[in-house]
Amino acid sequence: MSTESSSTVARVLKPTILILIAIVAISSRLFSIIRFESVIHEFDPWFNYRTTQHLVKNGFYDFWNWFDEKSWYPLGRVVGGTVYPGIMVTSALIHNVLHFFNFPVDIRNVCVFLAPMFSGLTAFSAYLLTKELKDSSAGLLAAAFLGVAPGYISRSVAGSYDNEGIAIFLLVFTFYLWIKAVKTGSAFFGLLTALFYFYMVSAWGGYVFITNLVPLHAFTLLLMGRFSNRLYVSYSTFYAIGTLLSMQIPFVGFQPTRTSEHMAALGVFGLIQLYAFAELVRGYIPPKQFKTLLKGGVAAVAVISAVGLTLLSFSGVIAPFTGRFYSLYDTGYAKIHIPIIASVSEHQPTAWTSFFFDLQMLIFLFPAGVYLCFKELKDEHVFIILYSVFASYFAGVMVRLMLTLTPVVCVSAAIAYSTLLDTYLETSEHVLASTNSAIVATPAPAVIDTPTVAIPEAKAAGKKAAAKAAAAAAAAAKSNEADAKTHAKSISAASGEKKRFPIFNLDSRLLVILQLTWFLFMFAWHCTYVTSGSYSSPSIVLASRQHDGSQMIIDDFREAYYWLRKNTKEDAKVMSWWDYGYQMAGMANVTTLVDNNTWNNTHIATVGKAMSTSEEVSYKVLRQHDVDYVLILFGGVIGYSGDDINKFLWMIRIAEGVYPNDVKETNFFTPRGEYKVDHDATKTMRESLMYKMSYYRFAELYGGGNAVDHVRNARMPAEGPTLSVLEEAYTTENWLVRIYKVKDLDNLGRDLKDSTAFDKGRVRKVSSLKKK
Amino acid sequence: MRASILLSTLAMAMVAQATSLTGPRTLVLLDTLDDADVYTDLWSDLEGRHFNLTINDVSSPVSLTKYDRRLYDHLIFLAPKMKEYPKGMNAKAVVGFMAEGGNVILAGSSELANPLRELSREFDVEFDSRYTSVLDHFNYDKELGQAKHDAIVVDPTIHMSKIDAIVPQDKLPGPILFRGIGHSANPKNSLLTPLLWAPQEAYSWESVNLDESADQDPLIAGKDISLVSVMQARNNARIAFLGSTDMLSDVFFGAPAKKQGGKETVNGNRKFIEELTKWTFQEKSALDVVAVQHHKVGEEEAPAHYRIKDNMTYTISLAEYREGEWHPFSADDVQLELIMLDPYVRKTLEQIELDDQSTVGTFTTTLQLPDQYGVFKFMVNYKRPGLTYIESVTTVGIHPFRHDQYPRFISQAKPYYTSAASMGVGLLIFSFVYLWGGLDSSVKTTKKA
Repeated sequence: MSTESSSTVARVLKPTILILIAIVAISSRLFSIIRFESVIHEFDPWFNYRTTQHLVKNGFYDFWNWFDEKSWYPLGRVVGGTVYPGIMVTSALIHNVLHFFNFPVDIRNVCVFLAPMFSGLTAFSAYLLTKELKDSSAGLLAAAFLGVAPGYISRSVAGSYDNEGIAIFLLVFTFYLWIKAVKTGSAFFGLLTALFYFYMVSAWGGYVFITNLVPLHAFTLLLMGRFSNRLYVSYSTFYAIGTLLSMQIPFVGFQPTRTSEHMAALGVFGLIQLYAFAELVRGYIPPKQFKTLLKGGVAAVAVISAVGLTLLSFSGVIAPFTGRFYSLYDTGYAKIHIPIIASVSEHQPTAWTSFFFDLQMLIFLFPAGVYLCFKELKDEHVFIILYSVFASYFAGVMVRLMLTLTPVVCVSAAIAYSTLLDTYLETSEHVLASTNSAIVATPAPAVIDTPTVAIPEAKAAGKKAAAKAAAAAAAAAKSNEADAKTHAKSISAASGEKKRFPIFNLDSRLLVILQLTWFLFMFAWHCTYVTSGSYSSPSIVLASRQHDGSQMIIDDFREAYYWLRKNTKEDAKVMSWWDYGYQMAGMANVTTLVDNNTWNNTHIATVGKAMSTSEEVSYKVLRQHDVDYVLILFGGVIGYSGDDINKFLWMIRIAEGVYPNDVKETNFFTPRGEYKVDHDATKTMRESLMYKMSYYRFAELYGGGNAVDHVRNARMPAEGPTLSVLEEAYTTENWLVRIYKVKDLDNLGRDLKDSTAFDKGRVRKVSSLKKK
Repeated sequence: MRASILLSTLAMAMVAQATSLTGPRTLVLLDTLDDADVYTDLWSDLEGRHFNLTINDVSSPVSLTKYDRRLYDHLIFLAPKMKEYPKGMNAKAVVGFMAEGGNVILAGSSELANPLRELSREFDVEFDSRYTSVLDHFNYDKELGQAKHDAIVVDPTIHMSKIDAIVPQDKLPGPILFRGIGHSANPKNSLLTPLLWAPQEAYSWESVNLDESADQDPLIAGKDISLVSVMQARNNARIAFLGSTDMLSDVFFGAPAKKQGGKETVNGNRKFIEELTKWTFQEKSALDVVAVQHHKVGEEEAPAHYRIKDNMTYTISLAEYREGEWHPFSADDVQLELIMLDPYVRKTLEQIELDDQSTVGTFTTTLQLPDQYGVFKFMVNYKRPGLTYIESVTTVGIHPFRHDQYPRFISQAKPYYTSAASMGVGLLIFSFVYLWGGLDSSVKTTKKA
């Protein structure tokens, strides 16, 4: 009776706990809003926000066909075809539903709060996923972990309106559905997997992870000899529908049939058809002939596919792996071949410390969880093992991919943690009971399958227990199904009893439990600390402490963007390095040359060239692109290290890749190979437009002499650079953003150097006449 | 319609005041006020063309602008000996005056002093050293240049630019008399045009001690000596440089031209100066873009943007100002360019034939847009010597097709349509056979499992 009442309690408790977890997950992401305001963060979110505004204002079809004339001037950008529309459509939908019910919520607030809201859902799907792997208590733990793990919070705080905000939910939920589909072999769940896969494709480029992991799982199961009709049904349904749906996203288009990243899924789909066909054939012909047939068949298929793939790759029908993909194999690749990828900080390899920083105790519970998965090794555990192996690798290669690792770490850690609790918390009877119920809840796969499938499975599995289970399955197949279940129950119960070593000693139990609880507290504390300290800065508003301890808000970015918005003509073209493109379009509403989309390397290199060459060369580029203003970041006054001079080397490298004759990286280094901005700076450096714009009138700030660049700790020359093709238009309070206006051609046909000199009161020297 | 009304009111307003497009207020700077008597013909010519002349000497203070507005529309320097600008004026002010749209005539002489040299230098005009004159021992005027051979007779049919927009050759009754300093116009400055230059035999030399033997070659000689140069700045303000104040004087206006050994003719100075001042003060050869229209073929209104490969019509209407009125402009070399970084299309516009009613010259073309999306500039960049620069830019986006503008069915895809259809039919047949075809039930179970 006690079990019944406790299950009633559990029925009430579980939803309550889940709701509480969701609330915690949401509220721990609100630091930035409480500290600053409800504002969109960073760079990419500004684009997402701007497109969402467009979507809400002009409707779906206009958004779908949106050709943005204000970015990538004069090339323009086909936004509808180069965007993952998932997040915008989601926000617009929420916005419209709210407005339908007369809740006049501003679209900005929908966008700001979208990621926290979805983090609640992510926690819930982690619960579902883990429940499929172990039990609901592990599920609750996983939900709690994922709800507050900094690795996920880093991309989903309020205001961080980015694809990842909803994509992690979709990732976890799609995996849950996939496991469910494999477990049940239901086409319905296969279909649901495909639908959520489609949602994922529409939301984030990381969908490639699913397209590769799911086929890999299917393939591994094939190799393990675990082919079953469940796998066949679920994978075929998922692949066929999922691929067709994913091709509806214009940005993806025909990629699933044409690029190498998607070939694995296609290959496994073909393989699984062949395998199913072979199974069918085997049922009809004697084993000996089948063997020959199989050998011939396998050889033929291998040869045909290898030749076909090579031919298609060489003829260019199948695109080779993209550079971004190569950089996942060789971390040095991007640095040499594609500086534009390497220049992004979130594409750098992960530092080891950040694993602990982002996951804290989960990172050492994680291997234990994976080990426990090995012990069970059902189909779904194979999936988790594969997921953890690959995600670990990718997370090690690229900081950003820590995000895909976090869910599996949470799930594995939850399994490990709950196993520990199970072992140490429960009395011996409970241990037995729970083991039983766990196994009954998820009947062993062998039980439902036909003997033909069960036999190879037994062969493959080497361990005694597995063999036992297989034997049981074989036995079960002979008798009717109801009998089989009871058999299996008793056998596995017996094996469970053998394996478990219930701990009866209260001291040791208390010790471990207390320690585990302490860990939990530490984890919660760490997560809050990290979230509050590191991941909640909106990055468009900076906060710093002054000497007296009072907080100083540095709002230079918005000051500059606001100035641009209010003081430039409507179609003013503003050039800046691509990092600020989205923010300028979103906040200043000006036309930009390049932005964070980085789809056109040449155009970015052109901007890099304009920044890194002398005024005369640069002016031609500026004129050709109708540039009215140039915007740069300069942190030398307040010591903001992410400024343009520090990014300058990347501009030079990217420009050199396209314009090797105009820009040479070596010219920017001193003979001793140093990157200097002070007296030792090279001539090329001092003449480059970026240098001039950064340090123009900088020395005056210090009343002549002793001008010190606080970022590079460099003592600047008292005589600063002069500008003739640009004039200073605006410099913000802390000199963080400087805006320059590009001068028109001189009215009298002089070059701008002369006309600037004339305006300063200098007269021309006697010139042209005497030479003749 | 709107444009033509505007145009006619504008024209009427102009006629009422002055024939100059810029305005009537003219400031003349003289070395001393006594010099005013030397140029009486010039004054009467200008006043006859509705100019209000303010004649000042260089010692009295003067201000060209007040509250950032021009106080004068035109400025005439007849003060070659000016050592210092009048109070309230400097080189920067003159350049600024031009940047505001004011026009300038700068006349020098062999005594040209530094301020005006430096000013000219900003325009890439370099006058020869002080006290040099343009001398010619073959083409000097028998009467005026008898002593020093410094009053030279220049034949405009040979030594003048054939730019009818500035000084049409056929309007000059005879050769031009010149006495003064030579200058060189930097050919690198594309805005600057030498209008009148010295004969082949002329050279520039100090005219003081002609008897001393020369110890070096003249700095400039022959065709390289520009006598009169003109510049139209980028904002269409105009300036003329004359090496000679004398050529504007009553004496030179009236004297007959008689070359050594040639016969006596009427000189062309008065007419030359009249045409030159007309040009410089924007009484003629000023163009204006009255209207720019563009639309898809078969439509009237300009679209917010085009699609790639659209057929569109572009029309630009130009008017020319002369004789105090706007007239239709005619030309056969007006071109349209579609530019996105580089020109994608360049096409000569055709002029619609003029009739009595036409007030503007209308140039039009119909073209197919390139198969390239982006933000294009529809640009008419019409820059001809002497004429106002026309740079009309219309920025229009060319968008790719909408998702529903692609052809719905394409012939290349027919095999796929067939395969999809056959698959559907096949499934129907299969289901039919499977369900009602009376297949063996044992087969059924095997399959189903």
